[in-house]
Amino acid sequence: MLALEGVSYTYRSHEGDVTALKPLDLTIEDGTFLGIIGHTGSGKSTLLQLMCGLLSPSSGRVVVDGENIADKRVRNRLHLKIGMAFQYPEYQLFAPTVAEDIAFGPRNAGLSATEVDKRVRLAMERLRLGYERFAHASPFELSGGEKRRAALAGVIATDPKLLILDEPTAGLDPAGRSELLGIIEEFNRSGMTLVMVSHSMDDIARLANRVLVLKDGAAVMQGTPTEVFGRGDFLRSINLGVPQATEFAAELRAQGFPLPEGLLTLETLASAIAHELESGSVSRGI
Amino acid sequence: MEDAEVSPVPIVEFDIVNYVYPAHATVPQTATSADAIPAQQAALDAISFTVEPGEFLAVIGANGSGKSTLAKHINALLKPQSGRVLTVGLDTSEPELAFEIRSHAGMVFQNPDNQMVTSIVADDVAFGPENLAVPHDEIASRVDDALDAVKMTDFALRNPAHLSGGQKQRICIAGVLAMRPDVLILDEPGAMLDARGRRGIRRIVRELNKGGMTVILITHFMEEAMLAGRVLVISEGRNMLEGAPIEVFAHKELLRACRLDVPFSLLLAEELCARGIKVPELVSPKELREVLLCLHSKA
Repeated sequence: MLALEGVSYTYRSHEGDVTALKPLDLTIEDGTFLGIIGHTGSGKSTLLQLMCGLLSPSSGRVVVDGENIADKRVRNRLHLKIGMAFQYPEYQLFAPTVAEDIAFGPRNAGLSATEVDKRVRLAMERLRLGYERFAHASPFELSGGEKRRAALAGVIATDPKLLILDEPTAGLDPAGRSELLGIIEEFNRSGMTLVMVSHSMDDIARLANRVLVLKDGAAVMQGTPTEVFGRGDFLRSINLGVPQATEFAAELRAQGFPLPEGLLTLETLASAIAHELESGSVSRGI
Repeated sequence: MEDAEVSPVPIVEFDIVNYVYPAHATVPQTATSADAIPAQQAALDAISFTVEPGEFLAVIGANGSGKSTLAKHINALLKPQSGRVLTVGLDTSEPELAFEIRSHAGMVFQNPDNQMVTSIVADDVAFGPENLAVPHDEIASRVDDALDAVKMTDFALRNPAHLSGGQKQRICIAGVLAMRPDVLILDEPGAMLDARGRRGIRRIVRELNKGGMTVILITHFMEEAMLAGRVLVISEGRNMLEGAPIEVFAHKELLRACRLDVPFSLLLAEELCARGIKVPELVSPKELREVLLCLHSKA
């Protein structure tokens, strides 16, 4: 659905030209959950802005459903297909009530009042914000996690096919993080294509089925989470990490406890350890 | 740090402190919106605790539990509506003591970009001592020491705007250290940083504490709380639990009810027990690996 063909981005600063993104080829098939990892300054934000047409590439083209978004008419329809939530999206809440805030997008898309109302209710349901309780509340009366979800409901209400999230769980408490990740997982299950930037390798491992690693504006690795996190030494060499389970497994393996590669989650790690301990006893006839 | 003067006075003492944000108050100025507490709901509800010199206390709690409100009471940014806060023995409700209190209690917030004031790192670090009217020569040596403590000496003449988030946050810590405070309060210093940035901050905080600095670290990362000497759990402005990390994290259900979690090694131990592997439930990652290696060699 979304393809970047040799896309690069260079901007001018008082220190000369700065290449924020080196030529990148990337295809995001419908239904994919792409996780993007990389340090501050690795080009993540630039890439996200190129994907949704907020920046125009210095070279190459961004193609959405076969159409180059350099074409103004294509770009003007882009917001109907692609939803984007920046970091701390709740800073952008502005309307007197939650329902009005969420209605802003679909209303601007020219939908009828009935359709807007339908979209608002559905978006609130998907973000687990009870309509009765929250629709007429001021966004500023909500708790932190609720505000974040109200802001995301505003993006979802435009019914995007592709949703781009920049650090969606930053600053949330553990329960809020886990709740929101569950909601994002449901979006993807229902067929939405997801692109998520996160500092948390555990979140990426839990949700993504493709991972892109950026370093100094270049894609240094692309693959499944198992492939990418299987190269822990390389990731560490560029100062990125691996999920906690993968790290724990690597240390245990290094100390002589045989474990397979590709253990990304707590559950798979626990099962692999249990399996190894049981098979060990069996093979020695205990 | 270097003088071994034993002080009988706790660094921080909260005595049944209550605080409610006034009606129609906006979001607390330095908290993220994720941490806003609705007006008229008790932000601090009869909270009492003490921090002794040299301690490393981690404060954990859900969004809106009152963590940031608590931090702002330590250096008199907020004053208790009832009860009492003493910082290095000084009563924070005395307006004339506020300036002195702030020179003893240094605070680092979540977003380094909101805490930088100049375009040269060394000047930024000097800003605090300059405002304390520290003599010029001494400022220079304080800046050097502070940058050394956060391993940013090589960046002294750089523009902070060109540094990474983690580096900026280290400069903010140096800026506070240059005021030679008795206690360093960090309010979610890693929330906006990547893993590398967070690791750097964590290392520096531990080293400072080993060097004798009293540290109060507010965090949403349970792994960070594991590093502290003592953990204080707050929920809805109340003190829920207090103790050594391993004692506190033993209360898994209570922590989850407070929208918190337990560190990875405890979660793994729990999963292993559920699979019939006999491992102790309260372990550090290192201890858990040792137990598993031992089980494996016996298997």
